[in-house]
Amino acid sequence: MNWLAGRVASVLGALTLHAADPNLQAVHPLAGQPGATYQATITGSNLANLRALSLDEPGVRARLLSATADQLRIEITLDTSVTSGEKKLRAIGPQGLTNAVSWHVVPEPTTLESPDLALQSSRVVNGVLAEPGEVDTFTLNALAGQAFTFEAVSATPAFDPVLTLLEPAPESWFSPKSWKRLAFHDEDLFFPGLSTHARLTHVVQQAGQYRLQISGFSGHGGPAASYYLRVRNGAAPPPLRHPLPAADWNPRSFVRQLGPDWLAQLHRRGGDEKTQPPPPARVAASPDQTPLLPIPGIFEGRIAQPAQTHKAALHLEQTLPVTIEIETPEATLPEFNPIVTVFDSTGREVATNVHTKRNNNGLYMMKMIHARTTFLLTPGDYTLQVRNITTDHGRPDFAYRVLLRAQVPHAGRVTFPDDRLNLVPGAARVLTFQLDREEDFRDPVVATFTGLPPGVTVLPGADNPVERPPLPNAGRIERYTPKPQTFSLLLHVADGTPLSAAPVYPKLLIRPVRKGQLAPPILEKSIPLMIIPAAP
Amino acid sequence: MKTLLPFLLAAIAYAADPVAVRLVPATFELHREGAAQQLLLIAEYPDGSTQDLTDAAQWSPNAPAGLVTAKANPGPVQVTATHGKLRATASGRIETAAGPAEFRFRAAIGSILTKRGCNSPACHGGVKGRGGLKLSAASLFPQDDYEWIVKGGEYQVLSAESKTPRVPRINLQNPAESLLLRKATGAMPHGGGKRFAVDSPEYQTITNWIRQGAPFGPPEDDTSRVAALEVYPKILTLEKNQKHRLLVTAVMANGRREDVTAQALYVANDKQIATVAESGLVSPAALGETSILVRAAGQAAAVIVGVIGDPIANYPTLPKSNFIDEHVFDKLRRLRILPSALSSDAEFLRRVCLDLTGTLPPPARVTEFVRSTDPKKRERVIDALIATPEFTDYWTFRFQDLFRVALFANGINAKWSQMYGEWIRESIAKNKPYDRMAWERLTAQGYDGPTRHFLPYDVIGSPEETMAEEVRVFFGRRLECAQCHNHPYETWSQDQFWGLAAFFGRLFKMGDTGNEYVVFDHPLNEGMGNAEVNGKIETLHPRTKAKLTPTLLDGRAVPPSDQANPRKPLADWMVQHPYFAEAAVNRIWAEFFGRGLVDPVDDFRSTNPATHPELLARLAAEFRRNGHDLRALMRLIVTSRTYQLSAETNPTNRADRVNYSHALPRPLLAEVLLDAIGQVTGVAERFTTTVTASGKVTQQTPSGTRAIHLREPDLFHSRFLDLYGRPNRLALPERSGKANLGQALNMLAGPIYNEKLAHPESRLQKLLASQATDEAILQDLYLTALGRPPDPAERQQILTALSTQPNRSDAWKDLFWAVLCSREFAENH
Repeated sequence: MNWLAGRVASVLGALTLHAADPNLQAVHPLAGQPGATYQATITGSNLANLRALSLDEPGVRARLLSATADQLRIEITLDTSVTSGEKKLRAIGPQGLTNAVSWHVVPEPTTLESPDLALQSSRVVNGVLAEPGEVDTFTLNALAGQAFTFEAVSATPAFDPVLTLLEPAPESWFSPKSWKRLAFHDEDLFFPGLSTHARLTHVVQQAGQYRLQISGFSGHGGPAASYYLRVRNGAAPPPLRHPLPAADWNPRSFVRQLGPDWLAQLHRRGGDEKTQPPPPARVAASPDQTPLLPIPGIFEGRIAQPAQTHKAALHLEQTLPVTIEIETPEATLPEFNPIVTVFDSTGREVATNVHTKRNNNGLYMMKMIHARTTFLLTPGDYTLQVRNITTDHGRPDFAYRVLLRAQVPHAGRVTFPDDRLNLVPGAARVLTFQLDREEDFRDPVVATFTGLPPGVTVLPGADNPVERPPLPNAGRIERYTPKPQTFSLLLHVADGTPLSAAPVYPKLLIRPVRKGQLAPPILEKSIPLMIIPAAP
Repeated sequence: MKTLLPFLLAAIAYAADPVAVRLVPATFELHREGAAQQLLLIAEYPDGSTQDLTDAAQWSPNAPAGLVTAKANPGPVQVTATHGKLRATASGRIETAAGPAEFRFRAAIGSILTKRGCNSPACHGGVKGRGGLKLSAASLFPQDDYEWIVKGGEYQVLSAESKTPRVPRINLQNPAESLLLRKATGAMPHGGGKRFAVDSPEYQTITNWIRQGAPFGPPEDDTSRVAALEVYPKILTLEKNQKHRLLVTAVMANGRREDVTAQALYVANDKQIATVAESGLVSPAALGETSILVRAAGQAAAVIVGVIGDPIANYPTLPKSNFIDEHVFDKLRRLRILPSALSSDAEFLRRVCLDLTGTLPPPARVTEFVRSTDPKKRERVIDALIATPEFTDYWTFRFQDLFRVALFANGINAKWSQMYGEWIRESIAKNKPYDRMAWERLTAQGYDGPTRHFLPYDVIGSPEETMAEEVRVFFGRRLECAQCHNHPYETWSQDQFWGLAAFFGRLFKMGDTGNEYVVFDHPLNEGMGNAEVNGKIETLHPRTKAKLTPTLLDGRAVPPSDQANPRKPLADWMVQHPYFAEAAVNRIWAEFFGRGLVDPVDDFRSTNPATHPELLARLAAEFRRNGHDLRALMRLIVTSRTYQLSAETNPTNRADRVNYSHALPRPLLAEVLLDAIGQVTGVAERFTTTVTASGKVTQQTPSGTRAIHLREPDLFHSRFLDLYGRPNRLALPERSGKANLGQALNMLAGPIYNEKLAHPESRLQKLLASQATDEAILQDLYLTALGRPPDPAERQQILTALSTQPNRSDAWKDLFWAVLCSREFAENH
């Protein structure tokens, strides 16, 4: 987790805008229905003089109506055939290409917020909390026993909506016209990687008029606090408490899938296309037994009861560098925190997925749970144990898969922060990305661009990373983190290169080199690029 | 007031004869030759009062001043005391077959050290001892005391070793040269001065002990270990010219009782009220109430002493609503205090609204309530208030205070303080039994609301601090002193403290980034990587460095298990312990009376006795019987006549601050005061968090957010709230309620008062704009702010004064300001 968090922080840090880059924040109205044509505003910065919109969504047309420094006015037309879901949109101007801002297509009819608007099922209300502390209040007429699901989706992660359902309080001695809180929802579970959208399901006991309020967490509000509110009849399934696997390949996430081809994926990312290992054997956990787990092998089970412990036996004939990988296919952190430990025949702990270190400010012991750990196993008999970190929690969906395998050197996650490139003729731009070298992966890696426009050349660059001394009291950090490597490429734009009328989409390719041969890419990423005039 | 006058006028001193006498104790046993038992002759008078006539009685056979001593004639004995025509008899049994009592260090030497104050907290019984000698308070740990005296050495707080080479404090060859005796007799300089003379019995006893080789005697067992100390009477009322002996009994672990009156040390808390002699004879000094601390045999107890005035003839029979009144009024009768009259409807309504909901009653409700002739209207309004959303809001606020919901107290993450705060809110809204709330917090594991309580300042709190807080909140006791040393004022030992702390010794958090902490109890038998940093999970005794096993205060060790939450046995034990219910009811009581039956509410100890111990016990029993139902407890309290007494006093109860004879005006809590100002001015406060350097507000509470709604005091800033005592909740809140200069300046020139009054949307400005008459505005102001209409004299004076002012708006602003600054507004009374 420590490593992950550090990674997230570095990505966020690197996303810092270049000074001149135009930036979009939030669209309002946030959602539209297929077949609709409507006007919307997009808040942001450095937006003056933007002249066009860029989007690649079938069935969607959008045009820019006006632009000021902090706001765009646009018109969106949705064909009836357009699919529902989250969409992206960018804007283009002499200052370059903006980031992609999210907006949504929803199947329901939409309407704009207005004071005391009566909510209707299967409708979506678009609103914005334009000022800090603003609260939008809607009315709701309900029948006794009627169930509702309210869902507030925000335009940006920076705005975190909160839903409160109110009922009349005629019994209130202070004011018979007052309302009292009936239900409240911020997000289902506040935890990194999970949505902060609010979602409230409630069965109304008595017929009558209710109120639903949307506010921002801790009084947040502002022009970018745009949201849509969906009202549904009935209790919709609870939201996912399980983050979706990230779009980029991340072997250190508890939610990545250790599928039958996982070992093949690892070999491929090590530049070895030819090795096609068979799927690892699967061994089911049993509360009363300690089955033998071959290597490679997947040990899987469910911590269905509190304090349950599952065990498997291991036997090694020869010393082997091994990796333990853990997947939580259903419930995951922070509800289910699987602790995997390997004990030798004397009961001594040989390995665990918990990284323990000491905080150098006070020498407190700190512990971080990891989805992957590597270590060396000498010949002998061992016991692998799986349990939840707390003794009080166990549920049928506390499912785990623990893969024990020999180490496979491979290229891990690649982090490339830029989501667009606005380049100026005569100037060079350094692009830095990071590659994780997993399990002693030592082969060279090549990074390059294809499809660059004329006048733009890519050159290898040398990074000048900050050299950090090894942390004291860091425990056996090498077991829990890959070796990160930073690469730099330099894009140079020749003088006189024509300015772009529209973005082009060159591809960043990253390929391992194995035994002198270029292996297939482990990353192919299209990045929109524009050549823009130098800022005056 | 008028209703009391006949009684006051009829209050005359009278000297009635006793109607009965009895001996205390009525039965006794003396088990060793030389053992003694003090008997007291207690006379009972028609008004229910009692008097100690021990010294005035004639005793037979041979029990001078009621003291019976076992000699070598065993068997049953009848002791009779005669006073005038009245006679009382006590039955005793004397066993002397075993001869004199076996020598024991604690009984023989420790009792001298106690009686002479040597082991008192102010002397060698203090935290570090004095002059290198450390003794346990009242000889609670005689083996330790013995070694420091016989082997010598200098005590160290954090080590069991002597700081200096051990030099015995006694001289076996020449007892008179013993440091112990020379210091105590003043033969050499002694910070504590002379404690006894060379020819005193104490000197002789110690000298003989040294001559005999300074034995310790047999180890402590159930026949010698004192389990409790009982003092008769627990509550003593004395007339100005009376005296009363105290009778102190040690209850041994085997149940046997021994009279230790002569060995006890007596200390009066307030000598201006009463004094106590070495023998335990209490003498009055002035009208009032104090307590006397009694120490003996390692234990401590206290006696409440009330020095009462003249008898009140025809003391009225007071109406009682429930058992609270029975206990309170019975004591008032004994103290010869007349309670105030029942509060007026307006006085009651404002008080009960503020106490149950933190909200002023609306003017229309005041009028309606005062006009109502429904005899059950008070009960009805109580039930109505308990059902209001404001009740949930207010008690959520009170428990968020006590349970410390704050940004920095809950992991420095506003989402986490919200999770914790919402858990409290749900508990209050659903009237979750209080024992369940406590249990959930004590045992919290994982990632849910109450687990965030264990993350002060982003780390897991230390076991000792965590345990001390839980004990203080749920047991109302302060064990912190015992962290570094045996508790100087109580019988809590350092071992007990650390045994309890060990329940929290495995508490740990998983995570490092500040966003994902999962709270768990670290298994004992798994390292989980500890070896990688040479770490261990264990709680060590700070002095002995011994590994600690979780141990309940009663000495029961709970063997640790990796398969179970170690805090569950602790929580099971705590919520069923008598301390739990009595601490809870005392805390809630204090919310309604401004002081606890034990006060401060989290300072239960034998030396800080309850003003009404039987009432406290009965409330606790009722609370348990009702399933720890907080609402039922509150209803019980506010329906009592005691709660509903007026704040207006009479001559007999004017000085009373502790017996609930009248309502004590209490300053409104900062949050309630600010909300009340908002109610009266009609301008609610808006609270903001950090404001950017450019002055831009990025977070602001929604309109209508009250101060009592603010979850994190360290997130939403308010100069006003800080000035008026809002705690930051980074430690257990202690609100003093005392006025300060900042408050005065704020009243004069602060924005809260002045800007709200001048606000164009204020209640005043709207009233003025509506062409309301001065009389109507005055009526509205009084009803809103004070919960009552102005009385005719006030109305006349104010309207006259207003008519002379050149600027009507300014004059009204001044009047509103004056009302808001008045004690009547700023206090609950």
